[in-house]
Order: sequence, then C-alpha cells, then structure tokens
Amino acid sequence: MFENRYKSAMDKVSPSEDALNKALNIPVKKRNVRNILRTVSIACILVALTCTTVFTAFKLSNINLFNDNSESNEVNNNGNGNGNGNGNGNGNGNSNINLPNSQITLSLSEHGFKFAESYNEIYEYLKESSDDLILDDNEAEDGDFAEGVTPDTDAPTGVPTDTPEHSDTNNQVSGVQEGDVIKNDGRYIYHLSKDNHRVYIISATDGKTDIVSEIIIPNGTKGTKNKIYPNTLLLVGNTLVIICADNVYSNNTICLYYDISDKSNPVKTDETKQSGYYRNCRVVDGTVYIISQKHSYIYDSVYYSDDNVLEAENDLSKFIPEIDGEPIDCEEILISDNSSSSFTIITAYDAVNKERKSSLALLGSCQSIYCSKENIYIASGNYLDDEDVVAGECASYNNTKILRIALNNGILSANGATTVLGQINNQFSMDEKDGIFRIATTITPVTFVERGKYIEYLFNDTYNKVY
Amino acid sequence: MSNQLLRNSDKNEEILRRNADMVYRIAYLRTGNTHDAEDIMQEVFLRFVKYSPAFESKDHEKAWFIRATVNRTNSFFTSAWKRRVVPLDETVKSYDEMNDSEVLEAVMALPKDISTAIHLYYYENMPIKEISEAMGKSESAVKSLLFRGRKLLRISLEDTYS
Repeated sequence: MFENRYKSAMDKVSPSEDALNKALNIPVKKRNVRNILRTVSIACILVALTCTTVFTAFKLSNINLFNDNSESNEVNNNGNGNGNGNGNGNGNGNSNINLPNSQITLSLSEHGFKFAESYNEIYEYLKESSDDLILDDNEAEDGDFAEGVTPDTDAPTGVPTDTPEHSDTNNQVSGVQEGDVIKNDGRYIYHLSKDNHRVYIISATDGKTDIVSEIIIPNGTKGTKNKIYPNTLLLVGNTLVIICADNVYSNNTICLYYDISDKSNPVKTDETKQSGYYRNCRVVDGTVYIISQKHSYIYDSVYYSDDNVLEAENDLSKFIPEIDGEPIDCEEILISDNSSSSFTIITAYDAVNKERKSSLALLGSCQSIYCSKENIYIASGNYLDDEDVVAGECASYNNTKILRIALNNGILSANGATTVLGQINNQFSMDEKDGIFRIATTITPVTFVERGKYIEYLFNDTYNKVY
Repeated sequence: MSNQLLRNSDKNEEILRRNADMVYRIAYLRTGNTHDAEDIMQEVFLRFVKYSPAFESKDHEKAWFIRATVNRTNSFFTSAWKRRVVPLDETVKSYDEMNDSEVLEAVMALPKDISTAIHLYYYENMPIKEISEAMGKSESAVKSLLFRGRKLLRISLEDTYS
C-alpha cells in the first residue's frame, strides 16, 4: 500500500547530525520589543497593500449568466405575463418562469447536468465515480448574532406586527432565514441547548427573562427509544422547526415541527425525515427548505479494491436517498458530470399548511449553496481533468459549475446552469440582485511541465474576478 | 524584555530536537534536496528562538513548526526564483541515498502544498482539522489538496501497483 511504502521511504529522511547540531547552536536572544513593533507595523502595511481585490459589480452585456432573455434560449413561455420574446437586454427577475423540462435540459446539459432516466443509470454512475472527498466549505450554518437588525418583515401571518426591535440571525439575504441555535421573535427567545437535548422557550420582556416551557428532544434515556441529535432551529411564524440528526453517524436528517401558538404548551405537529446528514436550511415565504447530503459508496477505496462492492443493485435503499421512508423518484435526481458519490437532497415543506411540497436531489459535487428569495444556487468546484493536462499553459487550474434551482414557492425546479473560471470561497462569494447573479472567483493559471514520468504543475499568480 | 519571556535554553533545545525530523522532512519534500532542507531547518529554528512562542499544547507546537517550515520554504522559492540562482532541474532530481524510492519521488513531484498535505496525512497521521490549522488553510482546501494528490499519485504510480 502507498501508505506503508511512503512511511518507510520517509523514515530514512532525516537531518545529518552535523546539520542538526549546527542548527541547534543558535544563541538564545532576548526578545526585542522594538523589533516586534516594527515587524508588526510592516506586516500591517503589507496586508493593506495586498488587499486590493478588484470587486466591481457590473452588468455584463456580453456574458449573460442566467439571462432568460438570451437569444440562445428561445423558449416558449407559458404566458405568465413576463413578455420577454426579445432576445436582448439583461435579466429582470424572470426566474420564476415555468419552463417545460425538455427545454430546460438543453442548457443544463451544456454544463454537464441531466436528469436520471432510471435507477440503474444511477447505480452505474456510482460505480464509476471514484472515492472522493466532498468539497464542502465551512458554511455559515448557525448565523452569528447581529445587533440592531430590524425584524424580518417577510414573516408569515401569525406573528404580531408590533414586535419590538430585536437582534436576529445573521442571514445572508434579507427575507431568507437561516438556521441558528437561538431564535428570537421580539417577545420570546427560543434556545436550543444541544447539551441538555432540549429547546427552552423563554419569555423576554422589559429586560426580564423567564423559562416558559421546554421541548425535550428524545435522548435515548429510559422511556424513549431513540436518541436524536438536535442541530439547529428555524422559526416560521408560530411553528418552531428543530432540525436533528438521527444518530451519531447522521444517516438521516429529521425535522420536528412544533406548534408554538401557546408558548407554554408547544405541540408537535409533524416530523419529516430525509437521507443524509444535515447540510443547510432556509426559509422563504413560509416554506422550509432542508438540504442534506448523503454519500453512497459502491467502491470504497482510492485504489479501487473490490472489498466493498454493493451486491444488491436492485435494493434501492442501499444507494438511493429516501424522503420520509420512500426512495426519491429517479426523475427528481439530477446527475452532474462533476463526479462524486454524494447526493445533495433538497426538500421543500410548507410550514403553514404542513405539507411536503417537492424534493430534488443532485448527484454530484456540491460545494457551496447560496439561496436568494427566488433561487437556490449550487456551486461546485472542479479541477482540471487528467485529459486536459498537457504540457503548456492553462487559463485556470479549476473552474466552478453553478446550478440554479428555482424555488417557485416550494416547487423546486432546476432551470439553469453555467460554468465560470476559478474557485469560490463560500456562499458569500455569490449574490443575486434584480435578476442578475453575481459571483466572485479566484483564478489560478497553471503551466504544466513534463518531467519524465510526472507532470509538474507550476502555479502562476492568482487573480480575482467577478462575473 | 522581561525575564518571564526568556525561555530556558535547555528547554528550547528539547523542543527543537523534538521537531527537527518533522521540520526537515517537510522542508525536504518541498525543496527537493538535502542542502536546502538543512537551510530551511536552521531558519525555522532561528525563528523559534527569536520569537519564543509560548505553546498551549503539543498540537499547537507541532502546528507552529509546520507552518513556519511551510512559510520558510515559500519565501525560499520566491527569493530563489527572483535571483534565478537555482535551476529547477537540480532541485527536483537530486540523487541522494534518501531519494531512492519511487513513491517518495512521486510525492515530491507533486505541487508543494499537495505534497505537504499528503505527507502530514499519511506520515504524520494528522487529521484534516489539524492539517488545516497547521497549513493555515480551510478544511475544505485541505480535503481538495488530498483529493488532488491521491488522484495524481494514482496516475503516476499506476505502473507500480497491480
């Protein structure tokens, strides 16, 4: 195995006794305060100088990303009053158009996305994709507390309109709620204590707090069967959502819905379950979107050992994600050519009417998720394929593929894709405003040099770009 | 500076000896030859003595030395290339006794950050979280380095494995 051979080779690598002694014969010096101050101030100046990222958000008239009016996407609208037959100009928030699937896939397939036609296709895809490490970035799941933010004016009915000013989760987009361990509606504080396995509902008025009630989450003690692990909260009007993992390995994401119209007596109204570990969540206009991620390994080794081949390719439960116990329809599974043995599962649940509205899964790499009031954008980084590696230069070491999923008030629909050069940091590298999607990437041009058997990569200076 | 910040030189030596091999190996991996590795090791030791960092734990100490070594090798490359003194051929292919392993050569041919991540993972047995702290990168960046490294190694070592 690689590891053993590498270890035994590296064990022989060590400094000579002479070199070590020479290096150790360094006189111990007293720390000089002035030197430190000088070094620190020089460092500060250098940092200020090097922080010149060009960040101009400008409308690109040549490159139209997600422009529903572009000439290449001449589609027949359903006449939803968004007359845009003229293939010109920039997008103007037409992302809620319902386009028939067959026409959407045209642009999706250009960037390597297609809907699965059978479960067998998925099985074969999983067999092909090598063991991978998923490129998750550290997403802002539990938002920071932001002081002095005005209350969310998009709150659904049921919330009193005269809520006192209060701080809130640091949501990236106003009107799109993100999960947090503390939620606040101006009168009550909802605090998820993971250690104590419960949610405290605390009244907070005139500077005084009082625990009004508690929601105890099953914790495997005597009397309750299964321990589930709470992760984050969402507050949707008079519904409190507790998102949990079903066990230590987090095979499933479980959402508990509680009616908190009566704060002293929270009542559980629903429970939903989807495969995978909890990844992210959003609330837009009363619809709760839960995003989870599930790995489905068919081969489990970088060096392709046959040890873990799944035998039952007819047993869907072995490799197809499930929602509330049922495998997802293969028509709802989008396959990406950014190969990965991981499903990203998005579900939409109407918290007001208490019903599941739709679900969608992406089989492929999913690095960052940005959610605006209209769409979810999934960005995934992709490195150069070995086939692309030839001696010479390349514009970028990596690129980022973006998939757009329209929210449509809970009816998820993948309706656009594009690819940009470079890589992004996280969800904050993306933004949508007035129908224009903007993304900032860092590009690393590369030169390849052949050295006998190997190809060496020489990375040139990176630069930043905003699309 | 106050005496409180002065560290016992015996203790210094103990810390340096403890980390010498690790520092040297990383420097060797990144520079490709023994001489530069020795230079880097000396520079890292000098920095340690000069700044006398107070370590909270063994992990912190390890991370500090790794980061210092990586930084020194980066500066080394910048200055070397600017001076145009060091021809690439020499640094990549140096035939020491230590370098007789095909696997080692394959790792050394990888881009520097990738080879460092591979080394820390497989040789130092560090979990990804610690590697990310030591290299000053996000965990996802480390994961992608490892991913890329494995892929490249698989290609270059394909002949070796059945």
